[in-house]
Amino acid sequence: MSSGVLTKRQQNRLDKGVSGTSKWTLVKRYWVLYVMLILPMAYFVIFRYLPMEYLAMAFKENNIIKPLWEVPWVGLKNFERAFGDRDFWNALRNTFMLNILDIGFGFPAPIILAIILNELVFKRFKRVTQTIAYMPHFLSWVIIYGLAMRLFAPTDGLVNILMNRAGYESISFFDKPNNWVATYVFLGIWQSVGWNTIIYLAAITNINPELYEAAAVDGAGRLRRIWHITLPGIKPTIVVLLILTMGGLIGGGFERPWVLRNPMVYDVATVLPVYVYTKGLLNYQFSLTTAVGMFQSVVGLFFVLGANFFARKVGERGLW
Amino acid sequence: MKTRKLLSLALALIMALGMLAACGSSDPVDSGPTATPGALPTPPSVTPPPIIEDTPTDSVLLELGLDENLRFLETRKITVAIFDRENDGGTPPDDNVFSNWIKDQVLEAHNIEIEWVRIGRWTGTDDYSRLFAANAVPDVGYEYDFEIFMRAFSEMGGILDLYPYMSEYSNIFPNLFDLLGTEFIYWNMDPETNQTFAFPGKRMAYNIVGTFIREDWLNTLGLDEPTTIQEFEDCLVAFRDNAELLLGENADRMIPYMMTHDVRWNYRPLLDGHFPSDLSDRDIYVNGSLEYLLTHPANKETIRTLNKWYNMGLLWYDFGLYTNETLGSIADDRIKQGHVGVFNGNTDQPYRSGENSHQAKMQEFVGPDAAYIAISPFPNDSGEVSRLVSQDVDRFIFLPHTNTEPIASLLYLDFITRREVREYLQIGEEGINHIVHDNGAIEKLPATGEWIQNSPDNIDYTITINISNAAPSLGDPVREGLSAALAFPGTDPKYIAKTFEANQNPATTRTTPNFGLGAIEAESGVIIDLNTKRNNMFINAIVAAPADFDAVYDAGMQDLMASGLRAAVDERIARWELYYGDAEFISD
Repeated sequence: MSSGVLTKRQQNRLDKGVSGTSKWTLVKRYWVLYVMLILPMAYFVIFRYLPMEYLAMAFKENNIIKPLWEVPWVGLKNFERAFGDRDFWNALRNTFMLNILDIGFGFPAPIILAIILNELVFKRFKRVTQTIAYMPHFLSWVIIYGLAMRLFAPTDGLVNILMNRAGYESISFFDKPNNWVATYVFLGIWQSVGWNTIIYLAAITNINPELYEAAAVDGAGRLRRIWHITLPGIKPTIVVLLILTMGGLIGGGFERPWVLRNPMVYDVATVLPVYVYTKGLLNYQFSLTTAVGMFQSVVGLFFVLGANFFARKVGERGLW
Repeated sequence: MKTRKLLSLALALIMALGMLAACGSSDPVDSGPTATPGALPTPPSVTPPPIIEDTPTDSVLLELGLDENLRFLETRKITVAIFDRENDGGTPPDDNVFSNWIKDQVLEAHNIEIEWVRIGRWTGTDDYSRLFAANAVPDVGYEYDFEIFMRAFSEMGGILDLYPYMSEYSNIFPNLFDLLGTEFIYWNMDPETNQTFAFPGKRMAYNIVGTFIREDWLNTLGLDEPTTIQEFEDCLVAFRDNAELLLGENADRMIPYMMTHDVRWNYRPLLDGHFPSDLSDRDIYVNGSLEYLLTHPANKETIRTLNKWYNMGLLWYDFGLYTNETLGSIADDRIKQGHVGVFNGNTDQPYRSGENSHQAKMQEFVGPDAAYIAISPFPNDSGEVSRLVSQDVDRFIFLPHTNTEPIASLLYLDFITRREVREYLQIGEEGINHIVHDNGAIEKLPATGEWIQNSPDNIDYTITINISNAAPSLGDPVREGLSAALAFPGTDPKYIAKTFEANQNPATTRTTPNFGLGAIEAESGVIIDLNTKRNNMFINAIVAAPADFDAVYDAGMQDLMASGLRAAVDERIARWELYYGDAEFISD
């Protein structure tokens, strides 16, 4: 196995400790590796699992002053309150809408860019393009917002100034809901496409070059090679990333919608993370928003499980 | 010099009139409502408990661990919040000449050792939330937001009820009661339970938003200062139509009237002109869930006027695109660059901050003649300017439930309220922070280094009084007026006199009473949401096509009503009827 990945048989042998090597012996042999694991494990336990105790707030009165276990239980009242709040449903709808658009337009973009870059003959040009493309990943959304406003603002944005000079009307990139959604998705793609491309380029480099050579000998053109070799070669990567992306379908980040939204588009721009922030932190409704956060996590988990199940059903490995 | 003297006298007169008006104003809490005769209940707590005038007895002092000079027999330790503004060139707020002076003085006066706890000036409620969660809130805290922040934490049991201490030991805190009176001390007293979770400090200037117009543009165009809405609109139209004359090559940058996303703040002068002259106390209370009487029809008509002006190209076209987080200094910069005909601001907004003021910066860009002058162009239906203002309450002071030294904490507040203490903190050291003129006027100096005041007039230390925008509280209205005239170096005194006349004038001001009817349950936990929806509605209604205005505004109001505003208004109506019956005014 030249790739270094263990076959199932090799894995079984390792698990069973064949050749007279018990698990304990393996642990003793590789103890340094296990010690190195302690720190990341401690991180997950302390910062990811222990705080889950406070999920109990979702079922308790709104009180962050008393010790958690002294705060009276209120059953599902916080969930009922959230589900009875029209703003919650509005935020849920917006979250789904924006995330589906992000996946629909944003997910294929790095795949396409990776394939294009892979096909470039001039390697230096490829590297420069790749570098320029992933640079926006390192910009915060506040900076991207500032750049976008300088470009797209209605009266003094560069794009509209140029359009006006060319005799065209200004375009309301930010102040009309539909336009705002398009701008939001576009900026999201612009910011992340280069970074995500790296993963697919890495996957493409793992494809055996002999396959391309053989296909070329058989007379396959460039598009044929992409379709029959490149895409199948990176399909496992695509599937894993798609499954992980599905987990964020009901969640997503806070910074991007918070920074990009403006009062003229709140109806489409208020997503669940923003709802949680404004209700929870600004309005001090901690229990209510813990319930909403829990709802997001559980639904997100179901999406991941569902996508994984579907992937395995169609013959892919999935996450496990 | 002659002008300055005249101005000084004018200001002194205005200040004196203000003081007299304040003294003569009706006190809704002290006098209590004259409820409609009959079976209506008179809430027992509308009249606060009397101040105990007698000297505290030895047994009381002994019980509290104090000697006859109100000095603790054993040193007590408390922690005290101090705002951290992180000013460039500022000093550490918990370790500078003023903070250390307070520590030394209060230790000497009351044997109380204090430790400062920094609270971010602009992140105060977030900081307090974290401290509440950790049970580490300083023993003396203060914040501006009572309705949302303090109410939320008092409902969680995080804030100490001050009523037992204030009602029983008022003679231990004479300075607090002298300055604030029972009206302020019991400002938030619940009429049924008497619980008093916080009391406000006193603000020495009206919380008024003024309107400022480019005087040089009026002169260039041969226009008079507008005194009616129509004249105001005519001025804006003239600015728009003469952009090339007024701005030359920057004509496309013309903004006749600067509006920002914070419409509910900017529209106040215009809104006051839309309120009917017979606006009743009941109107004010019943519509008072959201600023500024949102459910009163005057709001819709005010926004309709702004909608008309927006569609005429008179407002800043991009105003709705920004939020508190993203606006930054964009609007201020446009004003300073000289592109704006009219803007709204605090009484001293164009002139504050010396050489960095809007006016000074604009003169740098445009020339020495460029100037903003305060106007009052929005009279009501009886032809008079009547500015509706809230009472002069300032930050709310509270003690957290973890406070184990409430008497020491309140004695600290009493100490900080002493006239000589607050005066020293306000004006600082003579020769360094101020000079005294022959007529007694105090002129502040821009101190730097260790003597710098991190907050204007050290208001972050003098938490029971805020003199920002006003003169030092020297106990002498004439001297205060003379001092106020010296507070804006580099600005022609006529502009200061004009803005004080327009925006701090008791004759054109109506102060809303504190009705003292307790918290509205339906408003708990929803106010921020409603505020956001209100702002959203205002902006979308203003930018709507005139034909769509009613539909957009009404849809926004329906959403607000369905989101909790209806319940809040209904509760207010019921509360009013319970205490005041069908009276329209609390003095009826």
